[in-house]
Amino acid sequence: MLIATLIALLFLGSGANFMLDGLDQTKDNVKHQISDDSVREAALVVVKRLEDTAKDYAKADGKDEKALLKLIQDFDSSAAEVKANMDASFQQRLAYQKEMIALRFELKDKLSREQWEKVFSKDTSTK
Amino acid sequence: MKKLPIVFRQIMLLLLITGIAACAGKDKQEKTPDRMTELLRQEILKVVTDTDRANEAAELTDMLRQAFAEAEKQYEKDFATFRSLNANYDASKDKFQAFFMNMNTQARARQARVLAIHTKMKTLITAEEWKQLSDVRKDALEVDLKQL
Repeated sequence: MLIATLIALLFLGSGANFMLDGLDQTKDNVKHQISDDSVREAALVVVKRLEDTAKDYAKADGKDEKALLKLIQDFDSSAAEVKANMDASFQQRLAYQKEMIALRFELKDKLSREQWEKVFSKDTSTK
Repeated sequence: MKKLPIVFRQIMLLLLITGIAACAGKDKQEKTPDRMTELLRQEILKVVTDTDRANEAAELTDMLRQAFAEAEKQYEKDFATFRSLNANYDASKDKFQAFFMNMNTQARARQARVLAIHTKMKTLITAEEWKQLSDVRKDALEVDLKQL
């Protein structure tokens, strides 16, 4: 239903999971820019955890989207019910962001400044 | 190939879930939130027979359109800030936390605003009209299929 979709989109917007964007590029850059085998492998392990965490979140978020959409479609659902769904989804988002930040710093611990700049330089990253 | 930002993938996912992508009309390249809010406005004016209620509900779609425009602008800004922060080797955890706190605060404010629009919409539209708005979408889909 159009009206429900529009409203759901606005509830969900603002790039809750935009950290997933660019992870493929990060993985490619680690593979090709880091010459030290042990550093590269250690970094790839963390990148894999970043990917898994982001994918798990995207999956859970997808379920929330469907539940929210159903609630909005239902004329008889109350604002309190919609808000409760949004609040639960928001808590999930906070936990996810915290986990991704922790993993970002874990990845940083594996790489030197020079290696980090190779992986995340503006020239090699994509939007 | 450059990946689409998550927010646009979410839009496409929801379009697919609700079938709107298939009924967006002849112009299949224009499935933007802007186009969708306009479609909703037109549907409301068609379905809601009482002129005053119809106009008031149609005005709410303009508010949705504005919320979309602001959300898109904010997304681009947040995405750029995040990338820049992430690329900075010296960026502290505090910087990241402040960034996400700011982003989340704005998202919550927008959710509250949209929830208010949703609530107001339901006071203007009857349960039957709400259902008809869904039926109009189905009718549009059937018309499109017949044109094939």
